[in-house]
Amino acid sequence: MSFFFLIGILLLSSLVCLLPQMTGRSLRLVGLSSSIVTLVALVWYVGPVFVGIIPQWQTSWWEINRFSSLMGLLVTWLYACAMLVSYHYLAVEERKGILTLKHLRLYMLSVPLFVLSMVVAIFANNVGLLWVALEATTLSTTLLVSFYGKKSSMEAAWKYIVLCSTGIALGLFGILVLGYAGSGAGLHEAEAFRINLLSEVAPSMNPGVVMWAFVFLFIGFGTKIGFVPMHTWLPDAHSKTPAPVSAMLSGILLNVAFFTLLRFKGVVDQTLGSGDWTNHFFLIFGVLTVLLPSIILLSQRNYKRMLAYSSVEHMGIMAFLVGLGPIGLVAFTTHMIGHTLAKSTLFFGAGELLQRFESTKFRLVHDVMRRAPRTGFLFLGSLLLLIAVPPSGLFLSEYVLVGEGMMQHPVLTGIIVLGLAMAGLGMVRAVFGLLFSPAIADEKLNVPVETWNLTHTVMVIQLVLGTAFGLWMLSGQGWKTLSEISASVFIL
Amino acid sequence: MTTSSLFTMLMLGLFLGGTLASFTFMRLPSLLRSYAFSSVALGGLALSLAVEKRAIHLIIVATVVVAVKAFLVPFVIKRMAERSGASMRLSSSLRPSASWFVGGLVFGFGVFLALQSPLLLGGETSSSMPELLPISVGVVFVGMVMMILRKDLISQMVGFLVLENGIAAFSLSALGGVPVAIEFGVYSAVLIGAILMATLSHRVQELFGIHDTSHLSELTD
Repeated sequence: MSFFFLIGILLLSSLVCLLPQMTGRSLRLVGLSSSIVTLVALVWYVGPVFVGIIPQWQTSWWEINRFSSLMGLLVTWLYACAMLVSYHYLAVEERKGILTLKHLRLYMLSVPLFVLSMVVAIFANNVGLLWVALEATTLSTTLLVSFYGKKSSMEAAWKYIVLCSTGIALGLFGILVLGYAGSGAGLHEAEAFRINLLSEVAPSMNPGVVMWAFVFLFIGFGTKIGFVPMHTWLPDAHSKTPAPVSAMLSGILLNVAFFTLLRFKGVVDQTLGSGDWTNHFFLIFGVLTVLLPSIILLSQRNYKRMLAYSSVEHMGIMAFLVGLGPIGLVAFTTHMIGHTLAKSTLFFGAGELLQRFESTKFRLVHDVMRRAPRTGFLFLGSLLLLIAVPPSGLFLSEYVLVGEGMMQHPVLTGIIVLGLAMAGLGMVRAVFGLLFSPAIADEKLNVPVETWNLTHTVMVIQLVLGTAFGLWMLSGQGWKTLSEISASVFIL
Repeated sequence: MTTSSLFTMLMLGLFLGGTLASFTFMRLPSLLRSYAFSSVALGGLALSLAVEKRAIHLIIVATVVVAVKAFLVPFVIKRMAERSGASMRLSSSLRPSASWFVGGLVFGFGVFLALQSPLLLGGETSSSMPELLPISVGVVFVGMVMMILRKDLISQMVGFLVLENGIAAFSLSALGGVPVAIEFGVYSAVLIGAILMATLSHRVQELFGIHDTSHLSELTD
């Protein structure tokens, strides 16, 4: 099965939505079926590489290795989950009159293009293609940020496109500087855009030019990842999109951008002879990116923004893990998977809460455990996974962060631990208020009786998967496997 | 000095002049004209390089640059602004006279930084057009500062496009352009980005009745 089949499915499912005879239900069905076909096609296509039956391979445009296969599987898994949730979510909003057929058409047109961009970015071996794909992730989701057409949505969408596009433009500048270093080391025009060839000539590239390139790459792609202080667009954008899209933005897009940056880090480290110089960037920005959202999480008033700030915090944790070296990189992979599962489940739950209580403000949503027990219970379970309560996979990655961090950088690790404690405390306090505090007069009181729906099913599947992943990691077997997968792209 | 190098120098001057004018002009038609002007000069630089290196693909690049940046993008922005009834008068944190000074200063800083950087240090360079390299870095800085200082959505959008022009100039200078397929992808992204930004600014104008970014301050913590 050709890689182009996968691209074809996503393009086709996007274009089909433009047909005038499509109804709301048929649009949702097309979205759902295309996501499942995409997942099956990707498993079929990269599954053998992922499990190691077929060796990794590359062409001038593409590179399929075990790590990129893992990323691809996470993207398509989350796409399928998000479309299952969307099937129910959009139907409710359509029934309430919040969305029209035009909205649904835009949604089902944009999401497959967004997924296609992420898949291309993950498997691209050509840095130019990678850049275009990453920029396309921003362009394909901008109208989803402004989806509801409110003033705040417009503000969020404007910040999103301007800041992310500027960041990615600076990333392009970094790519060109790196290409310039490559051409100085003997690569021809087109060759200077291939990551594998850049890696090959990395030791003979001018270290000064490469360091210059990395600064721009770090600031540029760091903006897309949400590193503080370039994060300002993230809480706005991730809280304004429909919940299933928020789940994909927070759950996987940030990881895709992070993976991109790490691929360049590998080239730079080879030029400089060690990862020490680049690791300092990750350590310092990691600390900042944990600390600032942790303070904000202590007094957050909106649960979707809380989840978005938590994503910023987790990007900080992942950056710090990268800065810790080889062991940290394996913990990074662990954290990435755990965060994807837990955060997306929480966003699915947040969508369910929003539809039921018609507000995202903590002060207007209470007593969820009694009034919407299914959502409440699943939301609580996902939160426990996110704040690294065992058997969460995040427990292991954060355990490595503290253990390895204390040995290498005790002061910075101390600050990170303080940040983690504040973030955990802030989130638990806010969510416990939402789940257990009695309802007040200002909020919507006549909430209909909750029945089991598709969103709950997806949340249960993700929760079971997240717990199973954590147990597998804690058993020791998972660590070994993830070490092997990480070694396919990182120097361990 | 040969005709070719005279043409290159002229285009460099126009590119720089158009960029600094974009930084300074406070009326939408003038701003878009100066941006289009600098984009035509960028196309001219690509053409000059095409002749020098006998690279046919750079002629295509020059054509695409002029078509997209000098005609399509300004047309889309102007049309959206007219349709939404936006004011042609733009706003900035600086007065026009101070803008020339600040623009020059920022550009000078960018050039200085490039000259001190390993890109050019010691005169060792594999650049196809070394004189454009520091200028392109200066233009990137001008675009960034323009995005910060301008207070209306359209100017910020043009600031982004100026920044992108600087990057395109850098790619010409440092690498003699990039492969056509990638170039096509980049310009498509720029065009779609410009259309999306223009659409958003149109909607903001409809909702808020003004283009000023100071009104976009609802989302705070």
